[in-house]
Amino acid sequence: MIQIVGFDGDDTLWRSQEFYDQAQLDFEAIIARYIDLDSTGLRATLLATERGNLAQYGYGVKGMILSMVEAAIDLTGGRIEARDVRTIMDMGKDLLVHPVELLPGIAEAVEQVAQRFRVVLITKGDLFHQERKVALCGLTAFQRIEIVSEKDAGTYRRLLKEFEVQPHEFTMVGNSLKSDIAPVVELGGWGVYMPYHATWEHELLPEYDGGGRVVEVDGADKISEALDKMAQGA
Amino acid sequence: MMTSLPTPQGAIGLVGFDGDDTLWKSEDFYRKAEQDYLDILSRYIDVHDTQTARHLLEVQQRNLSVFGYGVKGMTLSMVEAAIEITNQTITARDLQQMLDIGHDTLRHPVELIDGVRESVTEIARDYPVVLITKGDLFHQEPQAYFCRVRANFRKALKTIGSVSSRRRGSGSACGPVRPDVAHSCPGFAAIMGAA
Repeated sequence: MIQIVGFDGDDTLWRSQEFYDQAQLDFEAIIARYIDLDSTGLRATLLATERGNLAQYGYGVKGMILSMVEAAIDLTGGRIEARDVRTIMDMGKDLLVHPVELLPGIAEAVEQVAQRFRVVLITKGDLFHQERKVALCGLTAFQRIEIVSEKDAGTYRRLLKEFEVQPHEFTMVGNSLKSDIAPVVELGGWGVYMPYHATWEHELLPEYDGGGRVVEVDGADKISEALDKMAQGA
Repeated sequence: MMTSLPTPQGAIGLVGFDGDDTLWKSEDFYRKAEQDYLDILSRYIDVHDTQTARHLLEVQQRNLSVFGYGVKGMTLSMVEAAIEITNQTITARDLQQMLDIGHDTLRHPVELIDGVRESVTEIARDYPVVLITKGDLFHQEPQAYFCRVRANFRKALKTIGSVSSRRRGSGSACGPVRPDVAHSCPGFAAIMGAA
């Protein structure tokens, strides 16, 4: 019997990845003035820098900007001009203050789910940025808001203990198989996978099989129905 | 200086400890980072002019509403301030050194302040103790974990960006313990719903 439904934040409740993707394109346009490298090569270098820094910076925009500056210096062999570094920094600041845009139908879906289950928000990333988004999103149904630095099995185990529910009483709704679905299923929980049109390479989990504990939906209006299906199986 | 705290009504049921510069050293590392920043800038401008350090502080303050607290915000502000104060003449190599200051600051070991371990252990015999620390989640968590293990916290509260937004349980019987009481008390007042 499902007791609690957790919702992810970025790209489940509100738009996020497309802002990062736009920043990536802007970054490439700046670097293209210095070197002749195709988009794939640039992306690979930036992703490698971001991944290398992840253990120190964690997730979020501030770490991304720092990694972009580092990658820009590296890619241009130290030739990038200070004014272009400044442009990269300003791009990052814009990302931090962009308005929070909810995805279509999600406000209604959360309300609908909240009438039947306890709902909680579990989001990862930069604390300050996530708190801002939570404050501006206008969704009030969440009984708890958890901002975490990583979404792995250990994190979910700790949260479920705090929520005082067993894993089989918990479902997570999210767009990332790696962060929202797989660790919850690993513990014995359930997942509603709602893919977003853009996903950061780091979050991809090719050929993941949810072992009959995951329902995929193509929009927020299908979440409640998916929970019904799950309730029959639970 | 505060010589005594008003006697709380009723028994104290929970004692909260701040992290940075209450349990572990922090400001020393930020000071070191600032000195390293000035050393790099000395290749371009007169860093003995107090305006140089003040300029960095101004940039950090204006960015606080966008970056929040923490080392990553500090590093970004350093890069921004350095570009600004050198009129964009600073080289990329020197900007990389600014980024390295951030890496070094994030890497510093957690050093408990003298006597903290004993003091927390002693207080924890009489009261439940919690750790309430603000700043960057990713940087605070390992420090909190270390402290939890070394200073015998029964439970560490999660990092918070702004105290009032993460209200937990009843805060009506909390007492702050921090040298900077003026800074801590409004936070606790916020938890208690009295701010």
